[in-house]
Amino acid sequence: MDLVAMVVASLVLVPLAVFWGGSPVSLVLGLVFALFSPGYSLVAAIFPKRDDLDIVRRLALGFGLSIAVVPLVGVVLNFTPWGIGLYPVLIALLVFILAASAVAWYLRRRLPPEERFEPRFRFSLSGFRGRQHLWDKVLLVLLVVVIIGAIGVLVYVARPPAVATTFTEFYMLGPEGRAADYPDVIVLGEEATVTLGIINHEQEIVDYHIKIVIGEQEVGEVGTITLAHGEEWEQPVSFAPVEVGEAQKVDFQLYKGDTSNASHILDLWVDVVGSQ
Amino acid sequence: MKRASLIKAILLVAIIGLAFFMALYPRLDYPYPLHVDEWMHLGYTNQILNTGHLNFPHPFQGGQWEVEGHPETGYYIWFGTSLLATGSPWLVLARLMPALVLGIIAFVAYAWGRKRGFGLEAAFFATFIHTTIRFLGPAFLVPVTLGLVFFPMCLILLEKMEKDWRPLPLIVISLIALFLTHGTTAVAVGFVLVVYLLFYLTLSKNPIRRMLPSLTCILLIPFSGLVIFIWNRAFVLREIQNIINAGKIPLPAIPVPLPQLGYIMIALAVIGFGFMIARGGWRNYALLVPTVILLFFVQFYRQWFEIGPDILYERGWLYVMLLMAFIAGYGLSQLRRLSLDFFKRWRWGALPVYVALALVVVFALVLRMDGYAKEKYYHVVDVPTYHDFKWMGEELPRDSIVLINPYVAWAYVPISGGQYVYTAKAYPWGVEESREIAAFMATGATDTEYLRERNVNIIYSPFPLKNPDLVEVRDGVYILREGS
Repeated sequence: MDLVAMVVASLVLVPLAVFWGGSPVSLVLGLVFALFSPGYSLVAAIFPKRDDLDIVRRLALGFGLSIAVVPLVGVVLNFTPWGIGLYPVLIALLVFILAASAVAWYLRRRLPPEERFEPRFRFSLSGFRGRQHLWDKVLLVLLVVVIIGAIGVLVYVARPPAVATTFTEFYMLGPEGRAADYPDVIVLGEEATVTLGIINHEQEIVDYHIKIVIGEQEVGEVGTITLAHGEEWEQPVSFAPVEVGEAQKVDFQLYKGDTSNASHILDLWVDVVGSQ
Repeated sequence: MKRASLIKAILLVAIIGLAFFMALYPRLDYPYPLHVDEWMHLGYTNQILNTGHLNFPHPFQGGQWEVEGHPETGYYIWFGTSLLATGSPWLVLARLMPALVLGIIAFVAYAWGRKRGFGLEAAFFATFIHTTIRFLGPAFLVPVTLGLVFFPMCLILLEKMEKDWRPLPLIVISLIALFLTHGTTAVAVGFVLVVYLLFYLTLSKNPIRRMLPSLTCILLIPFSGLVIFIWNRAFVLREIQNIINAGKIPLPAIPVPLPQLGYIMIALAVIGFGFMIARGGWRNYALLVPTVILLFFVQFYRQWFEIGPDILYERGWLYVMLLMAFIAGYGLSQLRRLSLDFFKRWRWGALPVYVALALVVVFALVLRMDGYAKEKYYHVVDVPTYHDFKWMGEELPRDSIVLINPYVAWAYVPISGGQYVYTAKAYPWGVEESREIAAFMATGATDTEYLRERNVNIIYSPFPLKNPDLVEVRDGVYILREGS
């Protein structure tokens, strides 16, 4: 049963990791796959008899030896043409788990049934309903509560704490929406375009507007842009310089609400040339 | 399930839950890694996954030279495999893993100690191992934390080896992996194993044929260390050179961390020492002697020897704390037994014993948490900076080299996910190169040639820059124009 469960879990994990990586199920199965299964299958192959090791030590060695096996598999992969990547790692570990489980299964089969290791869980709900002593029932409930509590702590660990920081992201990309091809030479009378973006992390709805200023002169304005907390805005914005000159500083000034001071300013230096 | 087993199961699960919480505790109010080393290891892991190989362009030195045969490679593979298998973001696993690893340490400690009657106690005190920014610890996701699992695990294998030879290859495999993961811990584990085996060979009453695997194991322990020599010969030779020829290295003082464990655990460890000596037996000596030697080593190493490598001195406290946790567990278990033997002559006599034990456990925990609360950890980045780096990783060219505060640079590489920093240093603005970068940024980064010579194409600056060749694409983020 233990080997079958482990092999099935590993076989399920591989497509899960490839296609639905990051889901809660792949997180749980992936951790089992990387932190437990290689070691446990190795222990099962080396100690097939029931008397070899008790279940607690098997589980403990399963965790510990996985920490030993995984790096060694990775080192071997490093010297293959495939290297260390998603598919090679998943397949190599899967092969290891399957091979060790197959050896364990074969060795257990060679033993008389009473000598084979088989994990046994003796728990029945009917016993719980009927004859059990009250204290035993209380303890069972307590065990369930403690298990839920431990898992709860673990889930809590995985979720980063909500840090009450308020800020706004304000950024500028090139006209194609990439951080490249920013205008540097503009012909007077023609428009240049950049892409501006805002992300609101202010924990409240905020009205933003953007002023485009060259030297002392305002050459454009965008807004009002109303964003809720967590909401994003990104759009191409065009502007046209009003005089010829080298190294003119274009300021993109972001204002929050009705404030008169810009909260963020991004600078772009351009040369403006006359049309020939 | 029998009632006693049920109670043990409840306590064990509760202890594992406690382990999760202890590892989480320093992270309760901070979402990101807590130590420069954690960031560094995340950066290397990320680089291995990006390149697919264990030799890779150095992410913290602008990719200018290759990291070859890193001595903590095993750890990077282990964490990288976990990332690949779960498909989870590194930030989730970086928070989860310390909790899981400490839970595993506690569980393996239980599995080892239960046959000798102090499994729960050993597991409980194993969760007490302290974490500081100086000698690290289980609350950090670092190789030495992973290495701590190997102490109780190898002891389980050794005990099994008293009956047959089959654990021998597992011990060798474990040590080889540990040498590739954290060599210092491998040396410490090897030392504990050798002492254990020597006591077994000399004081146990087993027939000589049972002792052959142990003798072989003693010979194979140093042999397994050869792997790191093959893997990175230069590193090993340099470390040996440090030990032999370096002379005295002035180590900065670090406070003895034992009080942070809480005086109840210390007292129980002393009681445990006493019981072990009084009871005698090779098993007790095999645990006592390496603990005492390691304790003396880390306590007096600085005052007396001060010869490199200092890593033995700094990480040694963790091994001492783990072994002391086992001995404190032994002490508590002996107190429990003696008290029960004494009080059980009265009806309900066990009740006050269990109440007293519960009080001891609760007060030990309270004192331990107090020690934790006093500790300070690094907060390398805040939330806005994290979002800046994430945006830079997503929007800016993948192989960019970023000029940045060399201290914050450690966090930049893993958060951005695929870019290089010009340089990273452990102390903020503390070294010459860092001061030079600070001065360059503070004066507006006007020298474009300075950037060109260093292949830098992005600057993350706390100061406003005044160079027309740079475009400010976000607060503090400047990119160098192509062809400027």
